[in-house]
Amino acid sequence: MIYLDLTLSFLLIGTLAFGGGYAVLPLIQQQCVEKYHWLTMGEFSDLLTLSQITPGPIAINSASFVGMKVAGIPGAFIASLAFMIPPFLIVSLLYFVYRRYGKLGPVQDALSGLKPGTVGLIAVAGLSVIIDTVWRGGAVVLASTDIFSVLLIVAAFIVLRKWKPGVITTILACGVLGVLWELIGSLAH
Amino acid sequence: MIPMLKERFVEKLGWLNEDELVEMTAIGQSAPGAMILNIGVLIGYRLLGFWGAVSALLGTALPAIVLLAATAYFYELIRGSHYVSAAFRGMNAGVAAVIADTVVGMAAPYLKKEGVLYALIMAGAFIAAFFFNVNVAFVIIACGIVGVVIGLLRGRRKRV
Repeated sequence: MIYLDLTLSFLLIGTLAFGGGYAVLPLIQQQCVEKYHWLTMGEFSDLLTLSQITPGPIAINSASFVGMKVAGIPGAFIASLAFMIPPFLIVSLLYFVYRRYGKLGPVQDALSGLKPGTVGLIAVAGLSVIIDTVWRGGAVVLASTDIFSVLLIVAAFIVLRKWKPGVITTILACGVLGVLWELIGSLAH
Repeated sequence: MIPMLKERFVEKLGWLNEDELVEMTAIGQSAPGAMILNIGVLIGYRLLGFWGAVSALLGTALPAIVLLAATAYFYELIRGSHYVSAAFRGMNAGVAAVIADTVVGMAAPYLKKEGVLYALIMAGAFIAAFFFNVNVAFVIIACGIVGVVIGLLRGRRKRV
């Protein structure tokens, strides 16, 4: 049953999403793309784009998007609420532990291992987005390489590193370039 | 995000002092999930107890839930269009660059001499997931256990 699958899936994502922001990406990819096939890899990349250019936490944005896509408005709420339950319980626990003992010893230790691990996993999710963008789900060979996307990724990366423009500005600017490139292409024909 | 919370809850409303907000940020970052929701829950507890926490959580999340459900609806309607595809082709390239930039920024602190152990965890997680397709849930749990073990070993050494 779809509601039960959504609930269990997002309870798991909520329990393990340590490290903020992008930490949910590897988990969402694993659950929604690989395990349940709720999204194709292309839709996962689109979802990332949409959750970046809209306000709100990436995790909630993703849960609501996936829930809506597979089970309509109830799905959006069920997935989002399921995602919020584990962090709510854990924050509540930490709040009382902190008030009682004034520190979070073993929790901090676990986090010191979790945070670098999360970075490694986000890198994997990022690479699969790059591969999907450049090869559109096809074979990873030179002939099917989307040169425009490669150039745009490299250019945007350099601009981000050097001048640190906002994330939304960068993404929207890339979108405008995508449309312009398409217009130039159709004029040339 | 933190400056926004500070301006509203510390300076304008006077509901919290600055130290409390710093503590809440630390606890909020220690739990899984979105930090802004976690901090909302903590502010809710501090001001009104359990139901305060629940209201803060729902209040913070609701706009995003509604907005993205609407976005998903329109996405399905327009994604097939030629120019929407072209825009996504560009925007997805932009997002790929944003993630690459973020990963480089997040990895930097571990690539210093004193961070070798943690750099190994980072590399190990990457290799396990990318080359060996290990389930990310297992990788995350393993990283947490390794962190606790490192902490215990360090603590023992200090005591000796």
